[in-house]
Amino acid sequence: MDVAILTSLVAVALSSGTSIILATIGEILTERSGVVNLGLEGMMAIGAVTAFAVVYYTDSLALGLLVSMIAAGLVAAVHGFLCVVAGQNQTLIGIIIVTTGLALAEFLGQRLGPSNSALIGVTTAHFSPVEIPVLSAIPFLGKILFNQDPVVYAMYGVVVLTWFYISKTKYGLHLRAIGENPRAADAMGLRVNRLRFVYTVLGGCLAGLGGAHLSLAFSPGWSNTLVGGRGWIAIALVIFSGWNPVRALFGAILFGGFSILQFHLQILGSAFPPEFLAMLPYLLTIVVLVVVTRWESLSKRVGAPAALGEAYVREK
Amino acid sequence: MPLVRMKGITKHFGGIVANKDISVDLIPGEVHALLGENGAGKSTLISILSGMCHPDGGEIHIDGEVARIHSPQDAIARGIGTLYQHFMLWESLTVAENIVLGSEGHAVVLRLQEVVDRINHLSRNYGLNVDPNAYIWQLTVGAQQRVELIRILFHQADIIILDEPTAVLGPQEVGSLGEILKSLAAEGKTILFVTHKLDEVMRFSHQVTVLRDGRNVGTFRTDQVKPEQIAILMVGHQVPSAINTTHPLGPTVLEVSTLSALNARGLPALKQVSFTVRAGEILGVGGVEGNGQEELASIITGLWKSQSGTVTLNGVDITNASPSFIARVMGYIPSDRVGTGLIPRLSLALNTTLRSQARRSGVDRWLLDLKAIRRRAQDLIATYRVHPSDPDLPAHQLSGGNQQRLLIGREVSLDRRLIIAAQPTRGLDIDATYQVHQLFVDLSFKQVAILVVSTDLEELLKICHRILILSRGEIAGTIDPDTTDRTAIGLLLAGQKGDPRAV
Amino acid sequence: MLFSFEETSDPKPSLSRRLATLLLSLVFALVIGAVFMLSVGVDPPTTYLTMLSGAFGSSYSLSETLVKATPLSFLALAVLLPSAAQFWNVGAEGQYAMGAFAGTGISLFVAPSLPPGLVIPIMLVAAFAMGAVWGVIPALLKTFFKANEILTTLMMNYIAAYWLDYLVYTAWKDPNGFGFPGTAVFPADAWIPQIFGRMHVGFFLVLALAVVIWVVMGRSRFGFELKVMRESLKSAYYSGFPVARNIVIAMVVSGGAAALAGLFEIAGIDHRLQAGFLMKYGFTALIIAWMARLNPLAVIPVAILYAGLSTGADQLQLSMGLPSSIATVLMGIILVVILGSQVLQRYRVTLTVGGKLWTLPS
Repeated sequence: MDVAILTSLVAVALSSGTSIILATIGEILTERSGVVNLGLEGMMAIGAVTAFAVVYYTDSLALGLLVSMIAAGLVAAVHGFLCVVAGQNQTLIGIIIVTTGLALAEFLGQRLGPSNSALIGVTTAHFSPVEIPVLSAIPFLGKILFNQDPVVYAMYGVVVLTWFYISKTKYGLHLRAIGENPRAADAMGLRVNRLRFVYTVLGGCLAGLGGAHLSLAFSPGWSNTLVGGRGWIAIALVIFSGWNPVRALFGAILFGGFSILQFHLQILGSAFPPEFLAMLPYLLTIVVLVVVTRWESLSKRVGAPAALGEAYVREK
Repeated sequence: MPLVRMKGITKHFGGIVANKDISVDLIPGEVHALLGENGAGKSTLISILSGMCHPDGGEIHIDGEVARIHSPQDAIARGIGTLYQHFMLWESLTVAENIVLGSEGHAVVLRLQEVVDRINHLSRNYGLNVDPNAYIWQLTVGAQQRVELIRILFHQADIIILDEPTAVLGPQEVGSLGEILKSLAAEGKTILFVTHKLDEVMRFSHQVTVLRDGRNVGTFRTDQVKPEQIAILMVGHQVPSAINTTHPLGPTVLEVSTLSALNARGLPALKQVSFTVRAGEILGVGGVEGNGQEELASIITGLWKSQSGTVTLNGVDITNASPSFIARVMGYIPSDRVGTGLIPRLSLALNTTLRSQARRSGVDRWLLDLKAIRRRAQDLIATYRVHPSDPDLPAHQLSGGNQQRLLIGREVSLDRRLIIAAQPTRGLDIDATYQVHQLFVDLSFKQVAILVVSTDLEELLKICHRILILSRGEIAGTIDPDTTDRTAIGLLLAGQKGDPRAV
Repeated sequence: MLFSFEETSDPKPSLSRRLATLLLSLVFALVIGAVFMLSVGVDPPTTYLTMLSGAFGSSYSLSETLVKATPLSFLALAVLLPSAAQFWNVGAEGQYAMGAFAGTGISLFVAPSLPPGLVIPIMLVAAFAMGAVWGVIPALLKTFFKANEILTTLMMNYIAAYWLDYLVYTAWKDPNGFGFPGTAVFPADAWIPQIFGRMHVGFFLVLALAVVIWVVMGRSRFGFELKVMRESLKSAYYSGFPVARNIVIAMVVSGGAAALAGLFEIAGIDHRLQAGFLMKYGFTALIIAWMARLNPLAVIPVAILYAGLSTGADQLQLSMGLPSSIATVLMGIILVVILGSQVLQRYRVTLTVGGKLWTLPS
């Protein structure tokens, strides 16, 4: 295969994975605090549709990103309220949030267009790749890493910052503490439920940003199937990463590599039905999940925060 | 001049009075022991002092002024450091991270090296041997307790509360903890030391307050009071005497041979353990918690897998048999009484069917005969004097003693020839404990073989024919309760030398 | 303005207070729904009334509501069984799809060579088997590899959905269908009889299934074992229950039942497999099962209510041009408010505005 084609394919794969990585990082923060947020898929859809609508009316990409984070963050706040404050079953709430979020996004997509029409098929301003002068000259990697749109660059920052935040800062230590042993964290003066709420909202904001990348950069536009399971793949990647942001990046590269294969097969010819190619990421997710879980149990590595999924109530 | 004055502390839980008008003064430079049975109100009182719960009535004065302690951090701010019975530690964090948590200062980026240096300094000064960079899950229970103590000192607490710190320690460790407490007091710290062991009170404290049924029944200078006096105050009546277990033993029922296993972390838990239990024998397995006792009970009962070695029951190899097979051939009283042994939200009647289900025939195999289940439960409740006696009540509404009698009753009623019991009297009061012991002895007279795993050596000495001491997964020795003397037991419990993993 | 939460020590609120909370939260949800409608520029009273009459206002709308309630109840009952053992079958959607696939295969390719009376029974068996296989895969992955079932069942939904796409767009596309993405219409032998409007026999089957599952959950050893597994897995192992086998059995039944729902939908309503067959019923079914507090008998009324909301929304689309996804949004609002209202059972909430205090519950 031609190197130029390969580079451009890998670059596309990275762009395709950016929304997933952002959502994964958000979910890592949420889960580290002890809350499972299965609603990512719905939050990404809300982020995507609101970002697109805002840019459609204001032509401001920055405002679009901001609104996507606020909108998805609000949905996450509902999740946080129900799970953290009201102590409801986090899986059930997550499923309700996904269903409602997708329906709301669909509804908005049908109504937010000009004079209450649909946004589907409408075009707006969108992000395009910005070549970074010196760095993009690096052979092979330069064209992959440094000829991307600004949201991808922001994603690099988010990954590194999150890793540093979790492992090196005081607040990161608090984050690890409330997800591992909330009772002890409470005794040490940490506001467990308040922090959990904040990290749930923060996770939602990142998922919304991921959604915005889909509708404003990777595949500009809005359709009901735009998110297409990326929210769920992000949750699988959290498990794959062992709740570690840097490893999540590698996981995303694995999925990215896979989507290269998918593109490539599609180019090769029509002998292979496109539906089968479309199945592959989901199949891969299952395989990876099984392999990683198996490997974790063999190596006695326990990555999940000990209090993951359990509401915290102070004993009296 | 007392530093801490608790005045008229009162606390109710639902209809139960946990603390009734308790007043205690703590004086700097002294170790004050808080003595009482389980359920006497000790834990509640210190929860109030450490901000974990709020009193319904009464006041706490510190340094002459009223202190409002609404949260644990209020307590920390007041200079109160608490060593809880259930450690407040994070297994996945390092010792240094655990200790610095909550007092990192203003810098956003952690400066762990400074913390490590301070920990090393403290551990040298007080002889609290701990590696600051180890993860908590790598440490023994004793080392984890030292981490808790270092944390209290790290926070420069003046008032130190210790909730039953000796429950998880061997005799040697208890001794050195006592010395540390005395030296801290000598530096001017104010220490409240909670225990239900009289000899520790006599050895380590300057003053003692005895609680019974949520009331303060007396405060004394330790050197001006006799142990017998305190014992009677604590219990309120005469303690039942030792139990007679002399009867002929039958053939071997359980044989464990060169059994080795790993624990959940993949570290060796048992090394080449061999022993037998005969019909009518009560064999005790003792030693400091976390030395393989829990794994041993789990392997015999099919809930954990061994690496090598065999377990045979009446000559049949049952090594690593499935739990559903084991459930049909032996009784098991797990240490996790509520949550494993009983299901708290299920009725007593349904709880009595838990292990009696396997391999039935006909309609009974598919459907529950609720009437018969209820009838059987009523019989069980009557026989084992479970109170309240309504079979439709959920199990969590019973007291610990009643739960345990129901659980033992169920396991015994299945007519098994072997009973495994783990920590059968943990958390029970003296009367309930005595009743459990009497049940075991009655069973042994009926030629049932019983294996009791317990960290309470006094309990094992009271009821067992023989006691094995497990130390770091190995049998460190066997005790004959009638002949072995206490010093020898203490040495066995301590294992060889210190703890290799805590540097 | 400031909210403060103080935990109450009262664990069991009275029934009347719980009912009052439920009613209040329903009203509150409708108010929020009205605000939502105003914000998108529609008149709330008209919208609510249109929905109500669209759902239950005529015998036609009632029959349509029951038509929707049938697969929803079927799927909710299907996911209820594994839920009772703490196994989250988020994949009812996929199992439903595979049931439709199996039924379609039989009716298109096998039915012509079968005696008429056997077609439907064989379709039932094939659909159940196909759904059971689809359902048992995640159960096995869970019991052997501890793979998270929420994710595996969910990923299998996507695979099943693409598989149906492949069938209706390519493999089984009706050559005489003028390019319409769907199979040919089934032979009449493969039609399940309709009774009331488009409502078919499947509705009565679902009622029977609810009773059967109710008996299984309440009276059988299997149901009891599932209940113990839900309360404490440790206890289930300790009691010697065949934990892995029970999960597998529950998922075989669950997948099979979900697949039957798919079969009834194509053989009873559409009489062909076509694009747009999947309606995301799987998630809805899980929500219905939990809102019915995993009580099989309560599943039916909850499913009918949900179906009513949904057919009501179809009416909105017809007469007011509103996207029918508004039904799911409204349902979401109702669920969030009902579940959120339980905060009043855990906390005493105080709202402070300018020195004034409001406390709930007072």
